[in-house]
Amino acid sequence: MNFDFQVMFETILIVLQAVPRTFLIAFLILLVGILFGGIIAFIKIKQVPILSQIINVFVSYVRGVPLIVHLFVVMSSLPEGASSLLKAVGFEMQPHEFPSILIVLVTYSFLEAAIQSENIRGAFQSIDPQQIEAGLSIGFTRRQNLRRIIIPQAMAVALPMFLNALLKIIKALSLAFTVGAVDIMAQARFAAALSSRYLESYIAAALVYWFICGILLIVFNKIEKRLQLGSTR
Amino acid sequence: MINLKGIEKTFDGNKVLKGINLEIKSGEVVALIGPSGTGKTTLLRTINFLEKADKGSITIDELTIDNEQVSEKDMILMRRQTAMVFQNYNLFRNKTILENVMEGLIVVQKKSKEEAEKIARQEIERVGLLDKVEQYPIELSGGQQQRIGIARAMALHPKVMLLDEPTSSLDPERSLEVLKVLQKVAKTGMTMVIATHEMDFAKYVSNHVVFMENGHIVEEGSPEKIFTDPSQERTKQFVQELENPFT
Repeated sequence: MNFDFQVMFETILIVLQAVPRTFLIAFLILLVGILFGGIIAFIKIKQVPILSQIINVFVSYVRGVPLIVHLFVVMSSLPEGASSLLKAVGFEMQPHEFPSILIVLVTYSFLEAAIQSENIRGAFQSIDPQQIEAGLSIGFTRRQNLRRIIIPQAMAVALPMFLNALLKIIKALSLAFTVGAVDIMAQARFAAALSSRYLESYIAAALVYWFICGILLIVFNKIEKRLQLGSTR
Repeated sequence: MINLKGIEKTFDGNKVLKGINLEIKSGEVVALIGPSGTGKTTLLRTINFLEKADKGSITIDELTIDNEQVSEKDMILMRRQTAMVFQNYNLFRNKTILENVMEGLIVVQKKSKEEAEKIARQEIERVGLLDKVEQYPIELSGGQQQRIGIARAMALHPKVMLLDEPTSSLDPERSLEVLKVLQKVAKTGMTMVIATHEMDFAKYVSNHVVFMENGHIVEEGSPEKIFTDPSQERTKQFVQELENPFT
């Protein structure tokens, strides 16, 4: 077996083109996940009847089903559903015209919402009730307490988890090629098909993942160190 | 002036305060003494509505609140007349020392940042920790944190400062450093109510001692009277046991 470093370096350059796009999608998924996760966490903390039970079922489904199965379920249902829905309001769209990136966004955001709801709930529940009393004792309203004390302290707990989630999403997006979306991994597969150099291409993909996740970790560590000073311990 | 009338509070069927009547004059330093579990802490917490009493009324200057029909708004209004110093300090962990003291001034009293910082620095100087302003609570010792807790309360210029066993999480030396700060605060004319087990503080710094037991006020009066010539047998017992614990 001969390993062609030339091809590997060329492939790295091709793969790198997918990095900004992958980042953007991962970031979007995280944001949507945090938004919906926050809503779910609120419903669970407040124990809203019926909604709480529905959410429990949703969370356990999302956690119990492998990502790729999830992707295929959405791929086989969402484009058809969207197409007939659009038809009903007078637009024409064939299911195969449905953008694959949307399939990815919907699937991953669902998953992320379930994960982040647990993280956010944990972060809020980790807050010492005495901190809340201290806020009340200096005359805060509930809103002021939430804004000045509770949310900042919960953020300090949740932020490292959010950052970690970003890493996980970037890596999990390597499965997105199965539904036709182009991320780092999909780009590497294209390059491999062109050059017929599979090992070189996959190693190139591996190095790019390793590199960007390494950089992210360094950034995260810096942020976490800053958070720890005013931390919740 | 603070006036408590018929304060009652029950937790899960357990009556902790059984009709407390107490009048506190402006500038008084009141020491609440008595065995553990007699409701001293609960009484303090009802005065600033961290705990809402079931019955009775609370007056601070012109504002009288009936506990049976108090709104969230009234409670916040009353809390803003008072300030609390906690047993476990409860400084805001996500804020620096300076920010801890400035927080209420800016958010609640809507003072400008410059003015708030000026007041905060004065109060932090009073408790002798001006060199720590940029640090976080976690970086300070317990005694230092409690001194900042006192500065945070003082900065608000409350009508009354409520202190819930402010030294009982501290070793004797750190206790002393906090008590000295409190003595200084007392001299400014601040009205204070302090639940304490520090009898020396009750004797030498306070000018009004209230002996509580089982949710009642057993006896109140000047420190001289309570410690040398109490009229109630139970007070006599309590004081004697403290003076001569091993006889």
